Amino acid sequence: MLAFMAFQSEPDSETLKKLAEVAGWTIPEARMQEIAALYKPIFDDTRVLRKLNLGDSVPATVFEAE
Amino acid sequence: MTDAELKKLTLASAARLVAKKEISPVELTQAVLDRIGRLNEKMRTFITVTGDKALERAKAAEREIAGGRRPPLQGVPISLKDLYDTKGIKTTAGSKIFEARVPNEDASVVKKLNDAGVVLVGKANMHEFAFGVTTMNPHYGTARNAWNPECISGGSSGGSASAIALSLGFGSLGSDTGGSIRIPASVCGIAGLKPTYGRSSLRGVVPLSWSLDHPGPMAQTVEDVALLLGVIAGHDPQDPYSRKMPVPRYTEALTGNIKGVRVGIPRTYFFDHVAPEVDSAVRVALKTLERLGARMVEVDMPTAALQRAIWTHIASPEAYAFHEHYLEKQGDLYGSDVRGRIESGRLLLSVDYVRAQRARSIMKDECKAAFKSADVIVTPTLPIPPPRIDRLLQPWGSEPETAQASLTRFTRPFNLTGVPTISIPCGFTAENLPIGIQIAGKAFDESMVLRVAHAYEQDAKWFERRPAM
Repeated sequence: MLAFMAFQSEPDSETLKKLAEVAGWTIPEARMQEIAALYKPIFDDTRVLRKLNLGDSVPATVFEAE
Repeated sequence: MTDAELKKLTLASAARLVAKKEISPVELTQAVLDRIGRLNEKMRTFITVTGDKALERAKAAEREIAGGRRPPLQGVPISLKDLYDTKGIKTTAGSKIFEARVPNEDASVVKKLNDAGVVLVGKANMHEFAFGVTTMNPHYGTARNAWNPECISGGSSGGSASAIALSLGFGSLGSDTGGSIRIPASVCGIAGLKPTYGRSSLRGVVPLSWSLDHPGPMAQTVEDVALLLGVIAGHDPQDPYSRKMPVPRYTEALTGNIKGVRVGIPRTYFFDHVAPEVDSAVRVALKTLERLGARMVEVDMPTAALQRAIWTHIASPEAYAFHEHYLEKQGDLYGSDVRGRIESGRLLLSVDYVRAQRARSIMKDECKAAFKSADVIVTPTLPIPPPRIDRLLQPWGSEPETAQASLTRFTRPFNLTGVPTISIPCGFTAENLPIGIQIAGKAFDESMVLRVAHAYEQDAKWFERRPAM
């Protein structure tokens, strides 16, 4: 988890590579920089989401028993 | 039938003329196919043209009419976004992966359209796997905008919108996960409705994001859209997301009377950082609604400002879950933009997905509260006019936001809340490019959305302006 948190503030190609290995994902060298660049704005959004006060809200997708 | 005669027809008028035997379905279908033959190479509107099957079906429709069988859309040519399964007809979802995929069965809504008598002329081009807003498809070409081929047709249902604007069929079905019906409808100057989540079946529709996908109709006018929705709406026991709700006769809502209807104007977000020509056209449209008897009220949806964060953390993991197998085996066959967007779902934490779904609940509650004081909410569909292809990745105003990134800013909140939302034209820029207005309603109250949209449309008459092509 700590690795993920660090990664999510600085998603460079080296940390991405390590995380991808842990997650069983082989990323070709040629695509590493491209994918790291893609993750940066997404993790900017992740931080916005984490700061949000969610109160007692429940997830929008709730299992309905039948 | 000449091109000029064809371009005057709408889905509703074509259906009426066919029913009265004033136009033959064969003549109509042939005229549409001839026009597709002339324009498709340049405009890249269709991935597959179903010429022979269409003529066969049109001949059958002619025989059925002679025998007295007249379902509501008998003999009327339409298209389908190429992610609706069609029995015996290739369904690619705009991808190389599904290049040779031929379904054994029609999607549930396609079955309903066939029962209503339509003639399918082709499967429309789309952004690969519906994950993008441009329909610049690396495998099937860029679907061009009928008003200016140097501009995008929008996406992901860009081929469907382009087909209608070019009179290559009188209606189409698109799908909308973050704006993919309303964005192309706006930039192509047509009407496109994202119905309530669960209103029409997703069975047999290639998914992008299960909890955000909405299938819906696109056509020239609000009446056309109402007719198509009347056919495709309704519970499907084979679609677990489909809801058991009564389906009204939508055309009955098109009274032209909106006296006393409360039009909600969001106090924040939806009118921020909007191009002057768009802002001005939408404000004139609001004045028109007021003149027609609607009452303006202010509403609040503050969480809408977080739409990108919430949407991305739901859509990307859901898309990745569907594509995981294909990416592992055939990742190189994806276009680079779409592959990147889908793969971005892979390393997001599950807790952030749940967090996004909780934030979505808050947005849904805010939307519900807004609809206590308003019958509809009106906003611009897009903050900018249709962007040129070569300027998509450039900032369009004083802020760093690119033209491409701006396109989903006002549409995604209504995917997250699931409420019915239409885009219709509300004016044109100085360069003769269409501008769209977005009208959202309460869940399952498509009738009110259509009623307001129709009253405005019939007063403003923007639908009468057609591309020169």
